[in-house]
Amino acid sequence: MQQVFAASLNCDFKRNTDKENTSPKENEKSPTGYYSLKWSLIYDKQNDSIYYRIEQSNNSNFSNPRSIYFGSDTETFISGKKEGLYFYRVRAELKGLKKQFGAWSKPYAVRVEYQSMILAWTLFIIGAIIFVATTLVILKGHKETKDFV
Amino acid sequence: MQLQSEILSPTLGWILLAVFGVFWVYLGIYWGRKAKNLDGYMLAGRNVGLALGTATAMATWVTSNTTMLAPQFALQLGIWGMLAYSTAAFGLFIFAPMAKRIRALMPNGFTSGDFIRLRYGKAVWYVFLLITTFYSIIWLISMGMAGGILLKALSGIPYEYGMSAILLVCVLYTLFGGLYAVIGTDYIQSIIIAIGIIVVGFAVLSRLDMDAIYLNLKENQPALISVFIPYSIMSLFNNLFFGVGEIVHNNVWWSRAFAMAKGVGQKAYTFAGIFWLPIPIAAGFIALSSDTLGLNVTRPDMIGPFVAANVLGQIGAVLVFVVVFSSLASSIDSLLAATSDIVTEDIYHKIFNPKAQEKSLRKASTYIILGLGLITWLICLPKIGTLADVLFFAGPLVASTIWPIITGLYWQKATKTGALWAMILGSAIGLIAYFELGWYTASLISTGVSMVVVLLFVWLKPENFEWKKLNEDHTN
Repeated sequence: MQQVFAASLNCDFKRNTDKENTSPKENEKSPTGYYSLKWSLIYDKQNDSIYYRIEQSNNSNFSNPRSIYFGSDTETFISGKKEGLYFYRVRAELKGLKKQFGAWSKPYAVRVEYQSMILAWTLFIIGAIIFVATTLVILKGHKETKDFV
Repeated sequence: MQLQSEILSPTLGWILLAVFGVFWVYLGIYWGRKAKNLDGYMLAGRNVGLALGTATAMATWVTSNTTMLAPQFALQLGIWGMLAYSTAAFGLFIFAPMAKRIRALMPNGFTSGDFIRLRYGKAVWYVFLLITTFYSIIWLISMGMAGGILLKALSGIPYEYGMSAILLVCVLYTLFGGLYAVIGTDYIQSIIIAIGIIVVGFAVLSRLDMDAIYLNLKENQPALISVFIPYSIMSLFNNLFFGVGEIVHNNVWWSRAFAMAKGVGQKAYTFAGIFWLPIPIAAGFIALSSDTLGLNVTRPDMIGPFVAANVLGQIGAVLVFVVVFSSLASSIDSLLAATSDIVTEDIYHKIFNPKAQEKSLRKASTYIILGLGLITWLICLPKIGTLADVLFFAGPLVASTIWPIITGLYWQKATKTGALWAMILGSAIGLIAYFELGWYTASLISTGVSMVVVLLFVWLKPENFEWKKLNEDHTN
């Protein structure tokens, strides 16, 4: 009976993207280091008495996991990640009842891979040039406005 | 970990909403009595002084986007994000000298559309009207959504009800009072916003452990305090040009330039920029503490109010509620009034009914404010995306107008064809960048393309525009 109950608590992540360029080993790519994770129960409807535990690891075996969330929300926003592959897993637990929990979900992998620094600094320099040019047009024009007015 | 759940009861939320709602509508009716003619209703009699001028510019620019999007920027882009958001102050600084020139060249002007039509002709004017109407509605939607999301998050009032109530209040007092009411309420709202943000900021900062926040960021969110993160680096000038594009083209700012008394505009916009500059940095910093505080973030655009309310408890939540409600109202009313002006004057009057008299224009303006409120409400209902998703889509469009407007205002040799292609190509290539490279590049690329096109046409086939053509006679 305990096992049947636990199975009904099994849950899984919802994919944020269906992009084809993600490899079989990763579920999602992020060029920015921020992303949302969403999850839900596989069998039962969402219930306030159910809490979720989310763990993060840098390997799919979760040999050194870090708990990043425990509560009844079904999503979390993650930001500030450096480049790398991050694995997540989720487990549902019954509030207040220890050992009443489902199995861990399959790992959900997110690869953080930034755009190139060359592109970033090129756009930065272009931005600086346009800003200076815009300011010069206004300052020069403003000087003439004084005479004009 | 704590949950992102309500701190105030729905009853208290409704009471706050009702008290401030009735107050704003009462002021709208009170100030509305001053609007004796169309000039009074649309441009507050063209005699707004420095204090009111500064307050209305600052309060309008604070918006829900500063109190809610600036913390989202910090959470997504880190330290660079805070700086990037604060660069929006340059929009006000750049517009300050422009306001003086606008007032000098167009003493009888009504809208930014008037300038484009008189300076560049009808083809550019049509493209400009499309861009500015689209942007204005997007901005209205982002604020309507922000109101609904805020009320839901702080007090549990269902999103649909909260969003509808805030929109209704703003539509009502703008309807009754026109720009007199908008500027008058902006003055009170700017005082509430300034005091509220200072109190909330100091209270939150005094309760946070800076060392713990730094260590936690270093350990768990290192990219937020790193200098060498590509998307954050790209976001700096992107946001600057988005802010400049928003202000330089939109009638919210032009109508104030026309409304301010002679010699006031430049000072008012400069002071507004100085007062506004530190607000997004303070609001943004709060967001960096969310992980240390153990708060689960489900919507990044709610992180600022959410952290402040959690750290300060019930009183903090009430303060946050009042500050954000004031910042929302101060921007929604401005945008409703200014967009209704441009639709009334540029579309209804100039295109469909050139012989319309003052009475029918005032009537049209009323229907247009109601229509804008209704359209915004309908689009806000499904709650599409986050505030950033919604707002930044308009970035490349408004950024494409910067160079045509600035050169059109200062250079006689700026050309119609150049302005037209600058707006079309800047918008198109900027939108491609939005989807292919990311939202944090779109406005920058749009501005760059637009600048090159304007310069190319000035170089190839310069015109010789006569400034006196901008001084249009509006007497009917």
